[in-house]
Amino acid sequence: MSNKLKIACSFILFFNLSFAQNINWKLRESESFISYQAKHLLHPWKGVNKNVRGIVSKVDNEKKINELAILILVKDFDSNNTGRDAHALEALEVLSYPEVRFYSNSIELNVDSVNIHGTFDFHGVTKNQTIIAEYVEDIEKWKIKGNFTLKLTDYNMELPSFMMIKMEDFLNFEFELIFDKY
Amino acid sequence: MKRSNLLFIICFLLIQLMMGQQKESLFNQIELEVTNQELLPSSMIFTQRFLWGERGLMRKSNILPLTIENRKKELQIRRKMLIAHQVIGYVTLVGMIAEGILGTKLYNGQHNYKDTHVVIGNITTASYFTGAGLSLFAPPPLISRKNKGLTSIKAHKWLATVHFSAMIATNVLSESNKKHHRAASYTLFGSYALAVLSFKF
Repeated sequence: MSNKLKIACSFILFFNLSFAQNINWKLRESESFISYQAKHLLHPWKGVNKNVRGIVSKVDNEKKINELAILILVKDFDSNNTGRDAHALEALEVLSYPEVRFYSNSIELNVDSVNIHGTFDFHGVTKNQTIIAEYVEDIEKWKIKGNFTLKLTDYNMELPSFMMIKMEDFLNFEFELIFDKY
Repeated sequence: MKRSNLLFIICFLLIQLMMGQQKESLFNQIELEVTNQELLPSSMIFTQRFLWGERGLMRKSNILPLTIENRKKELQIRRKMLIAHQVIGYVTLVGMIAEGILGTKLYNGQHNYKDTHVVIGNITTASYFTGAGLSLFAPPPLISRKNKGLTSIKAHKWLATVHFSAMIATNVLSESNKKHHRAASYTLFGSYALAVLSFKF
């Protein structure tokens, strides 16, 4: 093996190992939420999930976020109507797809906003999605807040209907996620 | 190839492989208290428990043992039964409106409508109990939450108790007491129409 190749490989190893110095910020579940708003011809409604799990991975002492992983369980969404929630679980085939995952390793921090390029794993379909959020950072926490829209039929969902009329194809999500620094 | 080179390459590949597992390991770090999705709700009405409960008829007879695969099938059956419940509910409401019109004509002395009133009454009663049966005996949902305040589903269920009793009273009193039959039928129509209208998506 030539010396040049060894040097190149060593450089890559060093670069990768430097990632091993990452620190993690864990999501503060008690103050974080993700909610959706959906619409039917008759009325809109909203469901909230207050059991969000997540983690941020970053290089210590650097203003750079490497990775973000969010995991929620479909059953944790509550729209204050047990019949509707039960129907949603059936429509989302929760017994086959109990989780929704979002993962990103491409996060651009701007002055007070963050562009998160990641993938949603929802209802057995994986799709790319860019989310733009506001962020606030202090000594104790890193908070991101924003919204995004998912098109249900993109995720092979059959739209539930009521009075023979299907609900709208879009779910508008809002989120506020607080990560504890430690 | 020199032994030291081989060792270097193996180390290099191993570390690259480890880095490739980053995404999964990050999710593994999320302390997910994975509570498996319960297959049955915490509470269900007695008719559903009789058929679909943990020790229900379907389980004991081994027709549909309680498994994830069977629950998936049951939820499809449930959806079809509830859609039929909705459609039959609207048909029943139309029948009740027709009965209201015919009943008023009878009270006003137009007795030639009596046979039609009886026939439509019987059809409406049959469709009412068919619709009720579809709801009462449908496989249970996955969850049953106790929501705060008055919700459409709560109103729908409370009103069901009223119109179910009123439907029985309307039929029992049809020959014996005209005055009470009329009062029962008004109660039936009012509570039933409200139950249909109050139900939200």
